[in-house]
Amino acid sequence: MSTYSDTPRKATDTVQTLPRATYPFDREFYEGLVARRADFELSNSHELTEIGYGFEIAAGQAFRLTLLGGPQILDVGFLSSEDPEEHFFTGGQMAIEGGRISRFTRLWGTPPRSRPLATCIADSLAYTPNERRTRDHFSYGAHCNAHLWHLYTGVHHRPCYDNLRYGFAMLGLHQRYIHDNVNLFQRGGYDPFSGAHLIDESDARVGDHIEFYAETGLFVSVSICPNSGGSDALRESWSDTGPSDPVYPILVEVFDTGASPLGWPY
Amino acid sequence: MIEYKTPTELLETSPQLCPTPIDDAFYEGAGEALAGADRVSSEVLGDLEGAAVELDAGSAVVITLLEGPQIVNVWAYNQADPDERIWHESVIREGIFLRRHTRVWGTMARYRPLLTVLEDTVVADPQLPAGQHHPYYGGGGTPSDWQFAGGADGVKTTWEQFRDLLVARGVSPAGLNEHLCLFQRSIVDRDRQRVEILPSNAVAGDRIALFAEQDLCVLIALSPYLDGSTPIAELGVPQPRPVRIETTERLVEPLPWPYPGISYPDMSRYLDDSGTRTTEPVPTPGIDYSL
Repeated sequence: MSTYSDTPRKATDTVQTLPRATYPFDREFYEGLVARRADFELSNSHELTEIGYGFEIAAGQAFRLTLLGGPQILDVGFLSSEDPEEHFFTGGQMAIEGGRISRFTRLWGTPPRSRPLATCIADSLAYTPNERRTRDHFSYGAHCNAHLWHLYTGVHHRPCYDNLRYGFAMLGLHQRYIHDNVNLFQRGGYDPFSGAHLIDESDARVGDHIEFYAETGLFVSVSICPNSGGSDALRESWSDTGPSDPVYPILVEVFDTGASPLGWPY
Repeated sequence: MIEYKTPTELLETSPQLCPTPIDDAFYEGAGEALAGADRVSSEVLGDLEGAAVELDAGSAVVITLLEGPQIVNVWAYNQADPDERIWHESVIREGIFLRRHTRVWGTMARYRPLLTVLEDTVVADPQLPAGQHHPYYGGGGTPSDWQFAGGADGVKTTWEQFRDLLVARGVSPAGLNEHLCLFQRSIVDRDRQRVEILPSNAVAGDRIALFAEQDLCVLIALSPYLDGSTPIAELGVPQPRPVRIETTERLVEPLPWPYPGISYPDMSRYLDDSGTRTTEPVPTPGIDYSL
């Protein structure tokens, strides 16, 4: 059972919500992974020179995404490499973990397996609270596409859908494998009254990174979002000057952790 | 002539992240036509087997609660191309909660409206203004979620109902994604960013009407969560409250998307000669992917 506090618009008000499913979590295992991160062996490293990138990662490996040039939104899609029709599932994620992603957040896949595909084991962002309670890294924003860019700017630009398609094509997968994705280094939230999706300036800085442990073999596609670091009003990014906003490179590193996944269900 | 705010005007005034022009007058007219429209089909759904209705573009499906509050989950796809289906990115254009004239948008490559809410009679308790009805992301509805919530064995979840309806129609369930949770009351936990479930404020006689922008197959499943008021572990084998599902004759010819004057991508970059998304593992042509 969770409670909701409605502040600051009116006096504190709590309501009882329907108890949600409780999923077991072996925290000791993941804390052990975190403690051993310095001992992970680098398997490969790639500094992105393209705005889309796809790579495969084996179960038990970890991958780290590091910002090299500045705040940069990354849209990342995950598929199981055993069965690419199994993919990250926003609906399930929102029901189980909510929309936030940080250390120890698991990223859940589609039914019927409904299992964790990856677990976040590191998040270097220094979060600064704000009244809108937005926060970097969330799981429900989907990705920009040519339609939105045409609508607001009249040009196709280089949207995340195309970048994700580029990344999956590197892995021999076609565009129908583009499904739900996570939005990393993007600061967002929902307004509980209007239900509107809010975006604010990211807290990310050069050198910030996020790292995921692969619970199963994965195909991963990364998009360097043309909206770069977002803004306190993302609409500015949609302006005529939007397409000329800079985008920044990132580093993708894959590590051997030496730890086999626990498997699911426990 | 369609009159609407330009995208620039909408960006300045809309609370939505990616607002889209809408011809409200058109949907007002469609709503008026709904009242006197002939019903083409009518059935009562009162179990956890789900129902599928085929909607012609321009017609509507009306879902009415017969005996009290009941969460009704809905998912839809293009009859001619099941790859085009509703998709949660709709939320960045329309917000989490469906209201009158909310449009439910479809997947790439066409990314166009598939359903539009014409009518919604549910009244939320004004004592908690953040608690609203008909959310997207209302819940996983998966067998796993039901099991880990302590649900009784042998209960058919929403996902299973949808899956079986699709399989019966020769459509792969691999495309199943997030669904609409009609008559469900929810509130956004601002810190966890989770859409929590509250007891529904809907009553017998409440209804919602969805206008079909394309020829669609609409799947409807009664949630074993019933009205969201009882912990799953205490429900036992749930007995859902029945709903009436009606489809109407064509109310009006849907508006085309895009509206006149709206810039639209070149679909040949995404679609093959059959008019569906290509299955070649190639990047979108005509784009410079260098950083």
